[in-house]
Amino acid sequence: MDEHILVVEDSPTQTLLLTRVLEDAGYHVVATPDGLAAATHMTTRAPMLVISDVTMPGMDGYQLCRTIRADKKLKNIPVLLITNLADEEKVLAGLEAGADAFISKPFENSHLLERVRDLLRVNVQPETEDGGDDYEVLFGSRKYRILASRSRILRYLISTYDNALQINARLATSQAELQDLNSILEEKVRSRTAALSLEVEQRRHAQHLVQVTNRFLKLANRHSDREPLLREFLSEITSFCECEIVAISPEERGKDSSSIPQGKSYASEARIPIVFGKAVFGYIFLADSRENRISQETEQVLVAAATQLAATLSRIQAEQTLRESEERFRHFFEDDLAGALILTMDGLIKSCNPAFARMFGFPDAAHAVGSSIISMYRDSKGWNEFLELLRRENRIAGREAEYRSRDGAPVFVIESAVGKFDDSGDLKEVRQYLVDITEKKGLEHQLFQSQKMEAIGRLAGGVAHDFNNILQVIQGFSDHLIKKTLPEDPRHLWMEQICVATEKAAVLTQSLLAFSRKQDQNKVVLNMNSVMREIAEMLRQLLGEKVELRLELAPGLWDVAADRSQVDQVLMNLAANARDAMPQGGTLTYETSNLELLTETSQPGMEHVSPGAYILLSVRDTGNGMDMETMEHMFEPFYTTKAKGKGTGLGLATVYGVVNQAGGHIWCSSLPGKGTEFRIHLPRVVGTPR
Amino acid sequence: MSNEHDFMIQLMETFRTESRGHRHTIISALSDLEQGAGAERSADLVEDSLRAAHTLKGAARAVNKGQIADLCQSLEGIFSVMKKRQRRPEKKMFGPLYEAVDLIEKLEAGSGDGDFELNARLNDLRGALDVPGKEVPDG
Repeated sequence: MDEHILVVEDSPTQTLLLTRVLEDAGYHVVATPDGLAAATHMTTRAPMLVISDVTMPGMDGYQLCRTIRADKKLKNIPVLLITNLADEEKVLAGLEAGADAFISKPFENSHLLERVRDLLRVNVQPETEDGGDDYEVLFGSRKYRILASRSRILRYLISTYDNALQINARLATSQAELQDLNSILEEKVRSRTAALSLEVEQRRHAQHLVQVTNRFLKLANRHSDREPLLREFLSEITSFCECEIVAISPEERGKDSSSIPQGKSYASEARIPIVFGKAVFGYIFLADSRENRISQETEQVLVAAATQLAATLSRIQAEQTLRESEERFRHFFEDDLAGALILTMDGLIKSCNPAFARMFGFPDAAHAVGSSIISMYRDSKGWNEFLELLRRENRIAGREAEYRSRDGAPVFVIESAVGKFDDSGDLKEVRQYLVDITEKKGLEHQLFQSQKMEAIGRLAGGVAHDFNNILQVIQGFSDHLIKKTLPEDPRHLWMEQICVATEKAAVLTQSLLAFSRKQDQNKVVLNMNSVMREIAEMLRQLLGEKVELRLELAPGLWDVAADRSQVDQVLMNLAANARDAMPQGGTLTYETSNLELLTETSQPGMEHVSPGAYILLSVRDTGNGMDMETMEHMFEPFYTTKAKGKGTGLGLATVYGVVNQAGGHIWCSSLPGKGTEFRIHLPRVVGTPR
Repeated sequence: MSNEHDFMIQLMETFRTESRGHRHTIISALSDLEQGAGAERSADLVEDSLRAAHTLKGAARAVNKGQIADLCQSLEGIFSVMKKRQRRPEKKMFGPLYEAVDLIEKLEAGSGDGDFELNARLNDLRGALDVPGKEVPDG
């Protein structure tokens, strides 16, 4: 007998392994890839043992087994089947096919060798019984016919039992392995959990950064300036990150970002541009001397933040531009230039702009809406005249008109209007534009006044001068005549009357000359406080008992230069007028103060006062006050409101002349029943009072 | 066999050669099935694939390539259901099958890891195929 083991296996790998195991154990092995090849091999050489795979192409393991059992020469060769799975069907199929034993894959080499040894030992004592018993086994739904000797069946069952033991052992091993694996898994889970918590930490870090960024971006919406915004953003980020953060200021934009952080090298760094479209607002340079300190998430968040920041910055820029242009627009239409309004045909204000409201003394445009324009005309017929004109002309352009504001003050305007006509040509609505020229009118009026005073002064001055010359002739010859006339002579008395009248005329002439600034002056440095104190007693006598004189003299009052007797004259004249304005008594206050005017001002009464240092003398009474008419003429010579023979009409004219001659200004404010105030500005002089 | 190391090298080479053959069998069978082979041819192709997967499984187990063995097990399961139910995979089912064979190739070369997810998908595939239909007796 050829002492070899025939291995039948279609897998070269398994064949190689099986061969190796058997050869290592000292067996001679012949391998064939399938049942047919094995059967062919056995026709020439009978092996001492056949080890066969079950599943094979062509003739499978069972068929090979049956072939062997059917062959008289081969039927005693033991057959070991190698199956993949040890399921019951295969076990029985193997027994049915006449296999001696089976072993299931994967197997331990030692187990295989043990099986091989057992089977070879059996082979040494060949079966004596021919044929053997015939059994029918019912298993599952299938019937198996087993034609094997009892000893073979026993062997087979032992191999089954053995296989089960092996499988059981393997099971135990796998269980142990499973436990090992489990503990490895647990370890893996633990380390993964740790990694996860790191990730969670990083995520939280990033979320925090997002929160900071969002908070900051909300803040950014309230910012109007880009520079502080940028700084704030970076400080927010810096306060949060451990990393160093550098930003490039917009001045440095366009430069290479790598040129910014100099002189230091960092183990980890990130450069994030703050860019929106083509606008570069700067860079965020994130750096740390340690390695791997800037997580990808931090960087991503910063990139997102930088993008949003850049968008915000560029929006702020755009908004700023828009706001500026809107402001210009609003200024142009609303603030200063023109009042605009829409009127119904009943003269009711449908809508108007703030300028209109301001011009007419309404607190705002909303208050003006619904009011009637008709009562605002100076003349009650004004509205109808306006409508007639508009119907006739279709539009009104640049007409000068006078209105009354809510408090009755005159409002001078240049008005333009367009009518809205319906299809039948009826006027439906009026759009009106008013340019306020009240102030201009006032200035015009003042100019007119001062020109008028100038002219009157020149005229009066000229007349007074000539008149004075004539008076002197009259006075001279009158004196001469008196000297030549004896006192007993009744003509002497007549002469004296002429002289007294001439004296009076001379005083008047002096006043006229003072008004026209043609009087000779003796200017000295004066302190108005001293003057007031010296003259106070005289003023009290002049004012009488019913009027109280109050002096409010500012300490440290500056000096002025003026003719003392003229100043006295001014103070006395004002006192006399005040007394006459307070027949029932009252208070007359003389107040002095220093005033440094830095720029020109449009305050009432100050329009013509050029910048400089002044003393202000305010003289105010609690008397009857004056109406507009009186105020317009009060400084004119010979204008008087007093009864005939009571006043000369030269009191305020003299005051006006004196103040002007001293380089000062006088301004008066008065309302009927509300008293009168004169404000006199006299320029400061630096010197010592005499 | 001079020493263990040489044998291992020879064994692995043998395994790779064998595996390549089985993969080729399965891939070309799948390709033919996908292109719509006739019923008889299909049955042969399924049979070939089943045997290839089965044999490769055994070989993989013998050389301790458990992950390949697992994939082969899954493939074998699918092919055996196809055989049992006389079914052909639907178009969308070919993806995971090719994927499994590709993964086997990677595992063969020692690169790549097992893919539980792929195994699970293959088992789902098997479940999807294993529904009563034109059932014919085994074998």
